[in-house]
Amino acid sequence: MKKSYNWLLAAILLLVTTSTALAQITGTVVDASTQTPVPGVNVGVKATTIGTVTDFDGNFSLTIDEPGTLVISYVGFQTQEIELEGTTVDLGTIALEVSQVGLAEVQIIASVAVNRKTPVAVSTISAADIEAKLGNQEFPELLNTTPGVYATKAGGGYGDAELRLRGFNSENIAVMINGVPVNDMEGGRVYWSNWAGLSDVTRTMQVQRGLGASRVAVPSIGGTVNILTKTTDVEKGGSVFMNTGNDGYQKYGFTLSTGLDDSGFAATISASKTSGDGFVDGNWFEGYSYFVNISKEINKNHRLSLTAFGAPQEHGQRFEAEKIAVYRQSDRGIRFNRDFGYRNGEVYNASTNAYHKPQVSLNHFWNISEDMDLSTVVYGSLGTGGGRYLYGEDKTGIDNTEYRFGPLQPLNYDKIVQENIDRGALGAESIIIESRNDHTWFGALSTLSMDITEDIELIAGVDWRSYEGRHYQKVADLLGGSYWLDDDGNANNPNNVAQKGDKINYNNDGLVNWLGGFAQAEYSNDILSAFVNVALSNTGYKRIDYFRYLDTDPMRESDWVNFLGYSAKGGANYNINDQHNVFANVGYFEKAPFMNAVFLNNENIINENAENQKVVSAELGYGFRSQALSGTVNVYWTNWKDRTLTRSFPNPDGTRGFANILGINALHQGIELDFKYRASDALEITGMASVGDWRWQDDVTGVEIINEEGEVEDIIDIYIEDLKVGNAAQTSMALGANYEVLPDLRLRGNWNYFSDLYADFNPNDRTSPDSGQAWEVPAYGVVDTGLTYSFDFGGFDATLNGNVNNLFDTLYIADARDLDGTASGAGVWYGYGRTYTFGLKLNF
Amino acid sequence: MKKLIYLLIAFGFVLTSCEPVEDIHGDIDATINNDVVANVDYTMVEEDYIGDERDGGLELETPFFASYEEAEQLIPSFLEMLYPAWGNTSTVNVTFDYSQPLNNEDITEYEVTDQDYEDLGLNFGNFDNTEDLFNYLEGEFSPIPGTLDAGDMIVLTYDWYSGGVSTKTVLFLYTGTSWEMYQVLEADDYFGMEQSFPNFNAVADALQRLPIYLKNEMFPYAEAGDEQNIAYEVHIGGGNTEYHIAGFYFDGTEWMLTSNDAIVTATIQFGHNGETWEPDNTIVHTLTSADFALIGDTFAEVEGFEDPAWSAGNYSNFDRREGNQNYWSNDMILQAINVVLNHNFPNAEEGQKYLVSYAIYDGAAGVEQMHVIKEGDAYVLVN
Repeated sequence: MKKSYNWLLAAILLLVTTSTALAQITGTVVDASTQTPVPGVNVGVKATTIGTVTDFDGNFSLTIDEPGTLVISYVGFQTQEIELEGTTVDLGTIALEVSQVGLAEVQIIASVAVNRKTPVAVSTISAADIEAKLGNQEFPELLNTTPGVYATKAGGGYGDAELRLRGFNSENIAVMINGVPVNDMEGGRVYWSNWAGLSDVTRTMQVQRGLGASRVAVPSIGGTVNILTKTTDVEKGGSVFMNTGNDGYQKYGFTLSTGLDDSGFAATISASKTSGDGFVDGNWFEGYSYFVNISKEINKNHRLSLTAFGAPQEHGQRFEAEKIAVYRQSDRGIRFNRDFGYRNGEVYNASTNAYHKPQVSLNHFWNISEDMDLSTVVYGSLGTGGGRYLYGEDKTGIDNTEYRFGPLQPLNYDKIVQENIDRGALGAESIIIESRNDHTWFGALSTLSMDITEDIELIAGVDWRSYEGRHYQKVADLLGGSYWLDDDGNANNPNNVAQKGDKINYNNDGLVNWLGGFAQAEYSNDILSAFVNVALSNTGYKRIDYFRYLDTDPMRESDWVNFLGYSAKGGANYNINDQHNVFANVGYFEKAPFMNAVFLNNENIINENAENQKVVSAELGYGFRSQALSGTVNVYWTNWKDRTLTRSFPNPDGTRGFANILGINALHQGIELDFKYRASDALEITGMASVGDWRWQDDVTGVEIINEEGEVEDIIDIYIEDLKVGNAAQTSMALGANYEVLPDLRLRGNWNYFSDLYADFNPNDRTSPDSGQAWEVPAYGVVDTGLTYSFDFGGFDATLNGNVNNLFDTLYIADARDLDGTASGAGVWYGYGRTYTFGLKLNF
Repeated sequence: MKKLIYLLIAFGFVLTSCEPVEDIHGDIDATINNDVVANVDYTMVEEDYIGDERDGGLELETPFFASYEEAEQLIPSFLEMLYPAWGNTSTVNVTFDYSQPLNNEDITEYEVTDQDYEDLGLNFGNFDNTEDLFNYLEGEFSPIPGTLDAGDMIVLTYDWYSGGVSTKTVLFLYTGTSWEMYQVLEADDYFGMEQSFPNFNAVADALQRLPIYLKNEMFPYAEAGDEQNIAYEVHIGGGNTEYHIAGFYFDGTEWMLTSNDAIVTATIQFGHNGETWEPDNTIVHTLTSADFALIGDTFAEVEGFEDPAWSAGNYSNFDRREGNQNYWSNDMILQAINVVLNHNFPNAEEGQKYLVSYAIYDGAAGVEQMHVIKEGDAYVLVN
């Protein structure tokens, strides 16, 4: 049955429409701001079904049988209409203005890479693609069709997706939103759940692999994800949308724009709500997103743009990656979540996460003179929230049927509550604890750019960041207990009888001060473009511990520890002719170790051995572009020395352990290919392949394992020399088709294939020199499909959009943690089964 | 070019319809132990002995086994019918009744003394209810030597108050759960049955004459349904006698013999060895955190055990990841179990089996078991 479906789909894709012709219209569409060609622009005759799209050079050619109005439209640009008179043949260059106010200013700060000019490997996901394909996928998953990317839903919770680029995890992928870095200042991680609702307002998402185009110092070892939000629509109007999907998925929202008025003022506001029960048991979610942008053109030389966005959310989580046998034996199959259960007759999951990180930024663009402008952004961000989980006596163990409604059945939280009640004055035995990770972050980025000659541009700037992270745990729910006794958390209160809301276990602040500067010289003309960039940054860390040290102890507050990092990179792109171009880049950088490598074991003792991490990277690429086909092939080589690796893993007793592994070397190299093929006006084929060879290079001795309370529990040696880097598929391929079956009805399908995926090693399991390779997860392929239909709905411009992900309900393992190199030992998370969303958007 | 790309798409879709994890699931499914394991107690009821086989009964003629040996022989097939789904390492403590010939070597004869009444804290030098009597026989002043076992008997002479004080001699039989009382015939009773000595010459004589004597002399006004237990002595030569017992039931016209053996209650543990049920003295013991702490302390300094001992003491489980520095091999676990069992059960007898369950960590928390038997001073694996 499945096979016949496959062939049917292929047969549909094979259909080609034909038409008759009378007169031919041609033209070239370019972006008015950059004068670069825009491919994929819709060109059609109003009120007819005649239409085409531009090729990679922005060219189009259209045959019509009678005069009419030509409509040129593309997401993100203002639609243009051109009256066709008589037998007009060549319309020449048609310049499309972006539909948003303030975008150009953001783009300068954001270091957006441009094809055939910026010498980096890059893939861009357009707003149209995001809107059409996202459905209920996680934001990073959209990038899976680009080379070098491995994005999964991890435990499956809303916003818990993990992105890896060229085998590097999120700590080593710079994520910038409108040019503002968002990687955690202390640990470098990116928490997508902070941005789960951001997809609604994203204009483009660009992945720059390797060193990237960013001018400021960022941890772009794997690469940079450059997200540009929408700014403000030029035209007055708005839209409302609603979506529904599997497992109770529901999303609705709206966007309203005032349009640009004569005084130069424009504002856009949008908001949405997303909720659902989740594919995984207990992974319910409720998320909101809001976005406000106000732009004001003060005069010809000064423009201001204020952006505020945030996406508060709360969702159930699945922490444990179970063994395959557990899923096989559970009647819930791949949806099994050991923390899922019932309390007071309602679904309950002790493991949840809630976070809200509003970010406000004010962009100022100053056109100082014809040759000079200054672009500045001042931003602030306030993060509050954290994760909750069951703490104390371990009662959620997988074999602990005493607290379950039978083996591998849901947890009976009422029993846990009753036992706490019965303990009375002895206090609670198990509670829900909340690990908070709040922060306040202010920063400013300013970029001055100067045209020295027509071909040479000098850019210089400063990057200042001030960050305070507040880390503590508190009692979130006593689960019927009368109190929780924290007898060793707080040195100032050794017998802390904690009630709900009281801080326990640890309470400390991490302060980070960052000051960086950069200078870049760029040479560019139509044939050759080149740049050299140097960036210097000073990272200062300070730690204050309110629990571990007495109030009177001078050790309570550490000194500032400073690390000077720098980077130097350069590259060039040479356009051999209109079809071929080659590019290369090389760079070296040293970045400060993460904070937990500086203050080991959560003590205010500065680790004298903390060293800068050093990265050397080089890349060579070739690009091809013709009317129908465009593509890039590139090879890369990234060597990382003195890497600090922070790992969290389950300890033998079910608690979590942490290890800061210092001084690891890793080598990541590979080849990447992607292409786009326009088979006909109606059919576009895209594809990519990427093959990597990523390995750890040395063994590490004397690594300390830290327990949940921040104490050293064990010291181990870790044998990982020549071990393949796991947790990301080293080989990936994708092939997609987008086919306009009928006018305004588009069908799309994409096949994604991943192999050479190795289970992530657990430092605790690599203590013997004979530990072999980690378990290799079976290769898998997944097919996603979707359709988009635009139509007129009582005067509204309406779009119907549907997506089915994992169409064939393929059972596959997306994430694995190694135990002993075998399938039966590994802890795994399966990818979701077949899921769907279906929605309607009305524009007015 | 076009054709190639369409071919690629078709190829891709077909490739995708393979199930990537099918083989691995097959392998793992094969290792999943689907045995149902249970450890329960079961007390047999009348229907279990005499019921039809199709109803799960043993089709015996009496609601008890003829002997202890018969119980051991028949209970496995009974459990097979009762719990057909249960598998290896399941255990059932079966409590059943069986008939046991009196063993006169176990009979104690005793006359309660004034000191005894005083020790028992009784106000008068007599008993006035059977409850006190039973407590006396089970308690610290019991005249029965050693521990009380099913089948133990005592012929007790004591003073009884019921309106007035009289001296009684009664045979008490312990069934394992309760006491049965048999009135001991007096010399006059034997003479009344035309015996020359205060005993019978043969059991047959006793069973022939007792019903008549009960009806005519002892209980002339008996009503249908009355029961009487009688203990009597039979001459076995050389001037020696032995006690016999007989239970009677009055059907309205005659006293009918119901049994002339002791029906006692016993409990045997049966274990499932993967194929069948067999009598098994296995005691199930799960290692506690105190046990693990003991292991951690005992082996802390033992060469080769330093890291594993720390891990067991710290996490209260055995690390079972081969190659890990904290790894516990089967041999090492057996050594640890020896320490724990010798510490917890110093008086365990030779041949005693233990099914020891313990928490393990092999990347995830789990439970493993080891079945051991005491041989000499050490515990070894049960084969």
